[in-house]
Amino acid sequence: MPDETRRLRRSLLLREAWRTVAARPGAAVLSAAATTLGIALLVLTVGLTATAERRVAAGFDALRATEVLLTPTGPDQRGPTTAELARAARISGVEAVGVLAQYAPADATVTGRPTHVSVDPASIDHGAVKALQLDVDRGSAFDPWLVETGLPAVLVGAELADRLGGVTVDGTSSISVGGVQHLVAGILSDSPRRPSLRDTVLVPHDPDGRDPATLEIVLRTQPGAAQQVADLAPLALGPTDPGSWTASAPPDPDTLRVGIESGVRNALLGVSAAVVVIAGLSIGNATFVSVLQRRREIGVRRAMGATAGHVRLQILTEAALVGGLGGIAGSSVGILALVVIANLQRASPVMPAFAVPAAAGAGVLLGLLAGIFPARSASRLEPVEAMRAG
Amino acid sequence: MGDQRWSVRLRSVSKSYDDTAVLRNIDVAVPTNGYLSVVGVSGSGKSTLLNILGLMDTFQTGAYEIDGRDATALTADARAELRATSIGFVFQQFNLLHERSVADNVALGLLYAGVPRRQWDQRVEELLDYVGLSHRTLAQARTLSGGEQQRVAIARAVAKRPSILLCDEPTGNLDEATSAECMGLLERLHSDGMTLIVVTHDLRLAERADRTVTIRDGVVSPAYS
Repeated sequence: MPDETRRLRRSLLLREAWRTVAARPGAAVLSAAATTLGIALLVLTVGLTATAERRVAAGFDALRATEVLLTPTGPDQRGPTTAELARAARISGVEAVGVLAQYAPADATVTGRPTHVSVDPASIDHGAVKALQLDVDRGSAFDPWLVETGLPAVLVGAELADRLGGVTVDGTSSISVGGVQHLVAGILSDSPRRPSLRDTVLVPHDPDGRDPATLEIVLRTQPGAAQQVADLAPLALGPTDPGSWTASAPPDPDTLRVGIESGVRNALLGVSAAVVVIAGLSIGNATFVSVLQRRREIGVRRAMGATAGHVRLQILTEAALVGGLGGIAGSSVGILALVVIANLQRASPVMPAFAVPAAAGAGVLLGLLAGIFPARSASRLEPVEAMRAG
Repeated sequence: MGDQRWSVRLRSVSKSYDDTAVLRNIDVAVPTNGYLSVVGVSGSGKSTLLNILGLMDTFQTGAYEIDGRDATALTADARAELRATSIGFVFQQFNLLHERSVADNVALGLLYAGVPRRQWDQRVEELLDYVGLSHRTLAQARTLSGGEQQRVAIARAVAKRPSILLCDEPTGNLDEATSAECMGLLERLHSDGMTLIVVTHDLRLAERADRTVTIRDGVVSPAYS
């Protein structure tokens, strides 16, 4: 007989393996379940990482990438003059300029209440309210009338207000900071660029007041202008002595992103890889048990003329099919889980295009690897020995 | 007998498992298109003899020719090739793939014989018609009666048009009427040119063959030489 008649066509072998798998749907589903779980975790990990990347990138672009900080180069924390600030505000790409100074810790308490909290007081000027995008939902940031009166007034961060208790903006409550009574002008409800300000008190910045612990000029820029503004700002502030101010531009977004996510991603990938290994063992075990149960069938196939190679290929193909089915199901489950989680986080789910075909391929590969031992075992069964099986 | 063409011919074949002799110096020969029945009690060695004839098992000493070809030194793959093309098996337990359809079971005989896929549907249809089961083509094998299962097994065995059909107690699990029906089918195949070898413990069945040999304690009588 010519050789080509004995060489089984791959399509016929695939058909036979598929029909064998499809004839036992329950067993196939159970075998594929572990793979589904492992691949779903892998897909979810890849999707979550991509979604987080997009989210961090968006947040980073919106806030950090549009901010330049200027700090005095020497030990002298002298604040800028009004003229210096005006020159900085005129730099192309600058949207707002302000001063933020931090002072040594002080004790804060609401008059008549027992709670004492240690805070790091800060001072800001009117420009800093815009530059830092502060949101005051009760009272006002710096009411011109209040500033003109010269009365000591403070903005209280919302978190600090909660901790202290009894803070109102109707003029009936005052707050003592470092032993000095202040009128509460407003509650700082949001500070996206400096979340720590929600847990302290803010006073109007006084250029002639006591020296702060740290001082910085905050320049909010248009997107993409930060680096250029950082280059020009020291010169604008000190044309004759540009070295007196040090500008810090935002770090490279890509570097920041990778730094933020690599740890989380590696941990998730590690867990997923462990589950995938368990899935492989599960397929291998299920296939091996199936081979033991199907010894008589293998004997019949050998009696019909199947060679050991045909049997080996069939078992391997069946395992690969189960793995592939698990891979496809796992991709679907992973994508579904990603959509649910992203919606809960109010983020847009992002899935790399390669993830789904790669997951199905990984399932097939897993099935093939898991099927090697059972397939070898099945192919080594002697026909007469297999036929004797019950 | 010198010009006789043999379908199968065993000469001085001995087979033992460990130290237990199962077949001793067996000589069995069946002419092309012959019909042989082998009678023996359980454990006499008749199934081992059938397995050797069907190239499912090997032996330690002796020689075996099948359709004029020396089968003694064939490799495992070459034996499988002969099983795929020239030898059909019918078992007492039917041995169908229960989760598969009747058509799939019959097509199994075509798969390993290398029959092109485009011929399968017609061949399966013809075979099921031949065994009177064309109305059960898509039924699951497990849903068939014993007689129907054996008829499907016969269709599967002859799907590749083998020259030799080996039957191991083909009516052992069937009632009298169904047994007669299946034997009629097998004998029709024999009339069409197939060599038929039937192992049985049923003497009435054995008497229907052209020739009957008895196997007892691994020895065939009357010996044929």
